[in-house]
Amino acid sequence: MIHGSRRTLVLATLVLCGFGFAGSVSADQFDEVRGWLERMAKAMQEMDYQGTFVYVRGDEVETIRLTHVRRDGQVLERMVAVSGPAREVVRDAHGVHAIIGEPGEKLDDPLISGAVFPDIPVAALEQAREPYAFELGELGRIAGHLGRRISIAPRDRYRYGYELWLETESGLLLRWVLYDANQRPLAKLMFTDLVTGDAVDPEELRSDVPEDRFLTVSAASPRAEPAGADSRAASSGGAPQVGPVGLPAGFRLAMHARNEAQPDFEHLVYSDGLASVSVYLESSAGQGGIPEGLSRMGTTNAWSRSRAKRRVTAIGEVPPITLKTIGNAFLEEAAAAAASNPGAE
Amino acid sequence: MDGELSPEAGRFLARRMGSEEALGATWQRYHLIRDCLRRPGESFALTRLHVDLESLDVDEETAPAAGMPRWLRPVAGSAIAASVAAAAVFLTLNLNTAPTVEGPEPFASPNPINRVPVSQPVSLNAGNSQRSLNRYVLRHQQAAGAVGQQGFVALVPIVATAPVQVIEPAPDNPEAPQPADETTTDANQPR
Repeated sequence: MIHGSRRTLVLATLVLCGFGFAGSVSADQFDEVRGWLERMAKAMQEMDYQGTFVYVRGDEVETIRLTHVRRDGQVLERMVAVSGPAREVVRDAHGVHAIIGEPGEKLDDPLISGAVFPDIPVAALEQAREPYAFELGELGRIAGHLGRRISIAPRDRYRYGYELWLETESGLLLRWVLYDANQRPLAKLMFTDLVTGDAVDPEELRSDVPEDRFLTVSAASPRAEPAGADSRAASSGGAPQVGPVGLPAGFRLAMHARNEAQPDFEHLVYSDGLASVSVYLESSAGQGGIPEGLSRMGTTNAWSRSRAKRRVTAIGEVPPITLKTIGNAFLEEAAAAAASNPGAE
Repeated sequence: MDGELSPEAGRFLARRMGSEEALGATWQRYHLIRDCLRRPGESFALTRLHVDLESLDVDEETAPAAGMPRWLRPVAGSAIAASVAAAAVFLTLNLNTAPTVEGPEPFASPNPINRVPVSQPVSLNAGNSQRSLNRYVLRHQQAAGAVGQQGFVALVPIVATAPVQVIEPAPDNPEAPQPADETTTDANQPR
């Protein structure tokens, strides 16, 4: 009997030690992963690299050629779709220029900005610590480079998961996979060839397409107000007219923008540290907009609905349930505001 | 044909077909149709299906009482309707299936109209919807990028263009609250 109790005690101690060890490993891996992501962000911005990657989404496979060069502190970048319709994005000292579509096609109100591989929100990673599990994985070979696998798995169904393979020497991104809540891959990106440094041919930065076919992306954008912890109070002049009463855990307001030409229009960005969701608030009497309900373009989902003369549109690379939850929170708020002040609308 | 005849009825039918040439020909046509439908995608099979369906229509119009027993004709008509409906549904789903959403499986039913897939993706070719969503998405990317929240691979999905697909239309009554299919978590942004 005594021996049995001792054995149980020893086992319990071992189990508790095991849990403690697992916990410390998890914490260590978050710090390690953060270190890797910082290296990646720096490498993707500062290094010269050139390669071809495939982007796979469902049954679709896109092949894209990328050249990224840094000259005198300026990033020069060109991304060309090798397959499918003509698409090309060039980034130089004068801004971002794009061709999307065949000659004659025109995009209304193009708002392309940023880099092909934008800055990783390393500073906000601490916020992602709770909703995601970070894990450092095994080594593997991709496009002739040795890479380290990094897994960022969601802890609930309100966000997608990521798997990244980073080059061990430089931290460059070699492979990227976006997973849904059921661990099914939604999209993959993988370099099939990649060269760095002096091996990069800068001639590939030049486009064969005449300049007049490029759309120079305007810098005109809504007046953005990056939001801090208590930014809603701090930016009271442009604060949202309605606010959410319930959001999925981990999502916080990251930006609020208003367009002075459209006082009824507001744009809010919520983020969990990795994924972000835009919420557009506007009058439901306005023309255009996307169909009400749930829509999708690639891996980006969109949800839109009108209530109490307000249209709420939520967009992001997150599961539909996240958009519905956030959008419904704003709808309820709009309905409550309309009920308490019926003469306002 | 489908194994549902009793042995007695099967023997009776076999005797009739042996003595009645038109019934035998009808039997062969229906077997050909069955074989064609079991091997979709083969050009020869589909061509033969088309020809034989046309000839069946002619037979129906010109000689309504010939060949097939009267009691079998409604059943056979339903079988053809169901088969053609199944093929139509299959082709439609092939055209409209979204890449990342599992489309409903093709089905054959005596009354396919009453069976509606739960979530059937619809491809929107209308330029306005595509342009509107483009604007929203690009603005989202721009704004998220401005605050360092653009994500890992932001611009690639934009360049790798994809059509807008409605995967769950809004209910008819826009004022009705949308049913929450999952429990909402605690609010972390109270006003």
